[in-house]
Amino acid sequence: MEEVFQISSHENGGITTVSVGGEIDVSTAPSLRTKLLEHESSGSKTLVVDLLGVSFLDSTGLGVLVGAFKRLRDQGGTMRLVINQPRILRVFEVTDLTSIFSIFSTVDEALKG
Amino acid sequence: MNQSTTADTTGPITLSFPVSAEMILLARLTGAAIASRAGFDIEETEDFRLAMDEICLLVAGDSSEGSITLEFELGKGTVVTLCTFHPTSDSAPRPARYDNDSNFSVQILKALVDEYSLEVTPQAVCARISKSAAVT
Repeated sequence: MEEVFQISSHENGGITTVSVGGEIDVSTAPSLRTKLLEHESSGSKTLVVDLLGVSFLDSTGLGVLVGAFKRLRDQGGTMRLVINQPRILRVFEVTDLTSIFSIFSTVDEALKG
Repeated sequence: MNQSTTADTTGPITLSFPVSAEMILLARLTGAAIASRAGFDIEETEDFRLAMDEICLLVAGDSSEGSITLEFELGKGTVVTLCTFHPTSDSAPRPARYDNDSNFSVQILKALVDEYSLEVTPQAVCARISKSAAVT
């Protein structure tokens, strides 16, 4: 069953948290890219992407996250992901992206770094 | 009409659609139904749903024109899928983009299914995958 894509963000203590829910696919990945680009233009150096509400993630979503990660890294920033669903984590594992992303199981842990 | 919970053998099931983001959602939904029909469990069905998404993304690439045909052969606990992208003259396949080492779709597909192969010609891109249930 398709779940409605939702995205929101807030900043606290110099860390921006982007929370995503629903399915990240070729239809919704552009909205995620836009939200992440908004963060990059804000100048905040630390970005937490909360994927706890994500029920589906494909390679287009991965591409958006990798692109944001690289841009932020080039600007001296850091990006942390929050994932607790094995199915979503598996997509990162099979593409070997767990070796470049900092992945946490709760938002609190990601905020602490 | 008699119905069984899993497929024995049927003729191929074919789905054709123009390349678009919305149509890939249709491929996912169809894939979930096919997987259920083949007797896959919930996890295998979710894997197959993601595989349908990735195989369509793989063959069509960044093309916004052309069409995709998905053909499913159902056996008991097994589904063989052929996914063919038919480009228009303006969306001819570029073989370099199917490089296995750098393509997330290929990496994900290989993790999700039992067999994977890809053929790229100027006329079409055809990916074939086979997936079986863990217990049939």
